[in-house]
Amino acid sequence: MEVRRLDEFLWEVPVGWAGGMRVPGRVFASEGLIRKAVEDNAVDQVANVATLPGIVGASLAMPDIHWGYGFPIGGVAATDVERGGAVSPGGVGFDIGCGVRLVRSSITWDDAKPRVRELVTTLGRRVPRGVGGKGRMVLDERGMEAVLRDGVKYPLSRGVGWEEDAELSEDFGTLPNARPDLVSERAKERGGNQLGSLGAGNHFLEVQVVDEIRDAHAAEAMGLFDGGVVVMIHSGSRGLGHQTCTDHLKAIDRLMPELGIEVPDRQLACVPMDHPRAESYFGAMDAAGNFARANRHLLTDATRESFEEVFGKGARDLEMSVVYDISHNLAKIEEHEVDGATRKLCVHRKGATRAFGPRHPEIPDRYADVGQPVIIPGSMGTHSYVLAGMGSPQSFASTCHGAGRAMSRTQAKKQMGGHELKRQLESEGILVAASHARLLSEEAPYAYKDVSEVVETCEGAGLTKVVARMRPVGVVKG
Amino acid sequence: MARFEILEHTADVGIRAEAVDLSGVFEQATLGLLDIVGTWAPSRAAAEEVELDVGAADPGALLVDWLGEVLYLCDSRDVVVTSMDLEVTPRRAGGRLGIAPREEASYEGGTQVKAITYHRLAVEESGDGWSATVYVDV
Repeated sequence: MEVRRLDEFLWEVPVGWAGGMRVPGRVFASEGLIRKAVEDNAVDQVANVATLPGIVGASLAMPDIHWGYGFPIGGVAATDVERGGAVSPGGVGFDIGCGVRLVRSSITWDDAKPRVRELVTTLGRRVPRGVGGKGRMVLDERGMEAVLRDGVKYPLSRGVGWEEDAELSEDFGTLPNARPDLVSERAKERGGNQLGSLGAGNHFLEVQVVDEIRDAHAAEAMGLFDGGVVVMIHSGSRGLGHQTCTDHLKAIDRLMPELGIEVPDRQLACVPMDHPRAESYFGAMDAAGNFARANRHLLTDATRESFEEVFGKGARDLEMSVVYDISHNLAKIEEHEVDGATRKLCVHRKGATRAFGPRHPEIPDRYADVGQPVIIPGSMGTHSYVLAGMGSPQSFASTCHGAGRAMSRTQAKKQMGGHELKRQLESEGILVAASHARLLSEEAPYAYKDVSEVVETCEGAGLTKVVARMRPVGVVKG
Repeated sequence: MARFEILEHTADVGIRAEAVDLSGVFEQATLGLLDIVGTWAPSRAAAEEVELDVGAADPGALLVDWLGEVLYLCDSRDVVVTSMDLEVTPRRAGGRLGIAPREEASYEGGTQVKAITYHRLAVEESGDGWSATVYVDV
């Protein structure tokens, strides 16, 4: 069986590719990207997701698709909440609410260039990171409950950050149906001391320079200008989210025989949305999502402090506004049109980003004309992008989340050592502050697909428009 | 014949373990996990011994739960494992682990593991022993 080309940027995985498919699979990809996805087992995973109860339309994948666990990375699946649709914790992943935030500034690269080494060193000192990294905000029991319930609004209530930061985050900073009581003590213990820390793996904080504006009107609305210095923050819900997914996935896995649901990969364990266990998972997932947002909010605070220290001016004078904060691992209840009728759907995005179009009520007023900002990190040494959502009905208003891995960590390490990579990046003008340089090459630029091809494919498919491109000048890694 | 190997995966990491009995295969899978995380330190003296005990309806779920317990122990207490002694039946895994505080240098060789997944999970008995395959999210 072969994938079938539907148009220049859309491919169909026919029903029958895997047993039990309820809908076809559809992958947004160029010819080169679909070939990689087929070789990488990822298309098989698109087919497996198509077996989920209540799935509507198609099991989707974005152009940065690659092999994940259960769902492919880049996978999007919408299930009908009122017609037996299920939620699968594997369709969100362990790093619940992981996402990206972009902070702009009024500083130009010409002004920042002489101080960039000092800036990266200062960020490296002020941003807690690494495997055992402890966070910037210590939480007591009440503080933990508040951050899980209120997200970004909790650190704001303690005087950290700017009031406008909440408005410039997805869901205005807070997932409203969060249930802190459904997050286990174990999860709270594992993540309790990590609020305001970057973590390890592919998480990073990057100083970038805008080097191309593609949509002047949207860029102006987002405060982006050619030569402007911005900071991109990629992090998630740390140990708290990992444990929350572990706990709920275990409970749902144990429930599967009783529910009589069979899935081709056990990681796709799922429960119908009208089952109490689904409600429990959603409440806990939203709480962990709030933790992730508050985490990026505190990392923003560390960023502003670092700029203040290095440039000797207040962050407000440096106009360091948040452009947007958006997650790429989450399930949400949204309304979309299916077969001509508006339906209430549970939209899973696993390594995919929500991309609402202009005038959607859930995006900030300042972006009403241009669509929701989508922040796309490249990999160290490559460009990153800001896109604008087009609210495509074909993708349940979703788009890509990054470049997408092309190579395993072992292969990436074999190609080059971490210290050698650091030297190479520095010779290209990209400074690196890494807590443990030896493993840096696991995340080397050559381990990823071409992010430019990914975002151009999303634009070609009508999912998002490219607004601006940035190049990295300094990377802070866990 | 007890051994483990690390399996290639585009985003994550797999472990394949083999041993003559179930206890051995769980021990090898645990060594695989600790090798990835960088928290296996048999040359260090234990500062404390802890007992872990988990139960599940099938050996696959049992392996995920067991490795999840070990990961939680290392993560929440920021420790390395210095020794282990496991006893496993198809529905119950118990063991005594020596632990010691993690030293800064050990972070250098470790990759953060977020969780143990059920993806392609298999724990099987064959003619000459047991094998297990499990993938972890990194």
